Amino acid sequence: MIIKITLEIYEYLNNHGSDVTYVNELSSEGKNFLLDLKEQGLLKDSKPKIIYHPMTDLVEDMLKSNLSRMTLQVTQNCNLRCQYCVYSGSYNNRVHNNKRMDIETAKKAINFLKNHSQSAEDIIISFYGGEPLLEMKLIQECVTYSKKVFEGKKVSFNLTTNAVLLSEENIEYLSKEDFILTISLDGPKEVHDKNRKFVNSDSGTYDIVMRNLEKILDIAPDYIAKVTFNAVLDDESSFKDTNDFFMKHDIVKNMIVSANSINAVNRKEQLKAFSVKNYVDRNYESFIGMLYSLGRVDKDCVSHLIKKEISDIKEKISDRSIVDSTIPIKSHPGGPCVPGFQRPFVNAYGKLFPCERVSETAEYMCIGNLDDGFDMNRIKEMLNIGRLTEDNCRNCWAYNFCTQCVATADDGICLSKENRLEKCNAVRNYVESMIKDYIVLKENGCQFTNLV
Amino acid sequence: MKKKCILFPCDMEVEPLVKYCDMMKYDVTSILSLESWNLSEEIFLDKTCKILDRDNLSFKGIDVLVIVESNSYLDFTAQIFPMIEKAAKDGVDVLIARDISSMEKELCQKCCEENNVSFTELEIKCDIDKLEKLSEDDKIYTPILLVAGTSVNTQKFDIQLALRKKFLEAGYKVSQIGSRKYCELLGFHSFPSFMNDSVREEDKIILFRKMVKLIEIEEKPEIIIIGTPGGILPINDKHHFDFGMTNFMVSNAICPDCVVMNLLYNTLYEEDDLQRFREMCKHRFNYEISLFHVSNTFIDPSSLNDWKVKYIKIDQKQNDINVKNVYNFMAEDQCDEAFNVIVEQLAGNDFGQL
Repeated sequence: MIIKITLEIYEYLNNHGSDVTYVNELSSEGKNFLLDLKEQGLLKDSKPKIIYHPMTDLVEDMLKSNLSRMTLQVTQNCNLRCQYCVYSGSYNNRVHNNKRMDIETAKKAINFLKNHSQSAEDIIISFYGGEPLLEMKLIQECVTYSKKVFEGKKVSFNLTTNAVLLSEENIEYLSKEDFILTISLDGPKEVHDKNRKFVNSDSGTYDIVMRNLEKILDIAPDYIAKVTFNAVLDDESSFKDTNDFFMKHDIVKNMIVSANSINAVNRKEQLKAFSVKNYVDRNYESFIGMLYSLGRVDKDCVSHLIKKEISDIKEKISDRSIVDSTIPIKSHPGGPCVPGFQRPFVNAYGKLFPCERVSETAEYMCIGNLDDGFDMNRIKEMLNIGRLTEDNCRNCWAYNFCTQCVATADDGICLSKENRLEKCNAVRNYVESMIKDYIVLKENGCQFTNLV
Repeated sequence: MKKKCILFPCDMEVEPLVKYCDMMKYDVTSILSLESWNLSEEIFLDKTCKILDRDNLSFKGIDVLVIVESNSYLDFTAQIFPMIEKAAKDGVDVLIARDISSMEKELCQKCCEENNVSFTELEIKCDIDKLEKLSEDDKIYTPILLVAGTSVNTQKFDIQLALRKKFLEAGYKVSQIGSRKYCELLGFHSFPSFMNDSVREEDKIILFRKMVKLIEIEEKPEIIIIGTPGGILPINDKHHFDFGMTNFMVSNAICPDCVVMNLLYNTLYEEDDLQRFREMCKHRFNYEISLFHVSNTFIDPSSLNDWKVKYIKIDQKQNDINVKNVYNFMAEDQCDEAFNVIVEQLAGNDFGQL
């Protein structure tokens, strides 16, 4: 709950906490206000006593028959060598190699999903790499097999690609099967080509990607609605140029872009210091987003790259559910999903992971395999990752808003308390900034109903 | 002797129907499912019927193919009709107990005629003309047991069937309106389709009350069990279903003597939570909740802001909630206990009023 207080109350709470013994120090108005807060239970000590994820005892049931999606790593190979790729060698993770998923493993994965999805009405199968289009024949076989295996259920397919191999034939197939296509595109030529380069070459892929986008528009113009972009923002490139590209370029300006910074998790070397110019430019776009939230500027003026900031304020702060004013005695900080349930990922060897973002080389990140099934003990350990930092979590004001999961605790050797704690300030700063933005918007009349 | 039938297409929707198939007017020898639906033979409990595979299907010794409702995505022409065609060619009658279009109906009829087998659509009895003739203020004197749920997917239909069975076994004359379509397969009334028509709410309330009155007049039951579809309240602003409107209309049409409220699964229910439900129902629906059942389904919290909310189904748990009046109706001993409480309560309401 967010409540506006006076400076007098702020100072009282700062000095005495929730102790009302000194309430007579306050003005009569302040005293009544504080006693009201106490009476409504808002000064209660609401720290959890035991860190224990409420889903822990239900994990077996959830994974038995409620899966609805699976991501298949059809190859560990890639036709590019992007500088910031988690498989480039700069991270504690596997590196690109020739390992491909064979059809037997792929079918086994699809059968595994079938056997664990009795209660699911809709099924989503995603193809991931490396570069999945290197294995188009395998993908086609998987699609045919999935449709047979999941007859009577709605099956849809996703594919994440660098778009270099989007031939006419591939586009026609993906369009026919109604794939949701996520294309990696970082911005204008100089930005994109800085990192996204071919194997053993210094040349970038921008021209080919744009040509292939034009090809989609030629061959299957309606299919473009199923295409979205994933942009990695490198602070060494210009945010302004990237933003201008996604806002103004004829082909991409009306399409959905999901923007992420270069992944800092499991990176062997620290990223370079951030650019002040980019910081200013980005905040300017955030400010435009705030103006849009207040109805002062049109939606078209809002940068695609900051839309998530606005939607986060709406979804995580404005739409938060206020169930009770206290945290249950047994609970877990926000952050972890149920490993294997939300985004199960099966690699080319048939090993299972919570999602595609964790390190495949770390044995402690593996949650089972297609032959032996899920490793429930490992899954429960991951789900209760907050126990690593129990004392810190229990006393953290951002307990419910935390976004850290098992991935951020990975130091390349084990799940590390220190690694997890290292990220706490960044999480708290982000949450605090969202709450502040929410208050500013709220006080200026934002309705939060029709935001992006 | 009951006619032998096969049910098709059977996904999890069919579970309560199979579990209580003894109450059907047909002898269910087997059910026909799709491989992807992963139906387990566990759903039959101690029944002798089994799950059939379409590829090795034989209609030998079968009298009727019953086409039932399913939750899953099926194309009538490609997936359902071929089974009807096969049944008709093997001399098996066809009974339709699911919504089909007039074109699909025509296709089935033609096929059955060509093969000299009967084609029937399940008769849903709801004679609006008869209802119109009844008076609006006719009182209902038979005790009414209402089964409602806080949400969809709370095993309401299972509970209605479990209680029907208990009352019938105890020798009561039971009339019933179920919360699903095609309850006529089990020998009672489906929830009337007029409750979903575009007519004024007050007219629906009056018609529903008259429907219950007509059942009382014609069937002379000792107990009427009514199941209300949907939930009594929205999940959130995005997933509000009908805001509990159907429940509101039913509660205005009839005055239940006993109410069983089905809850989504949660181990953390405390007396205060249940009291909140009791008070809400008292003020919104003007009835008192007598018993609670904790179902085997809960909502995936991460789906609350998605376009479609996701329900997670778990194995039925023992009732480990230590709060009075909470039962697991799916466990035989607790269902017996709950049944006794219901009978006692209904008996307590009987003051011998003439």
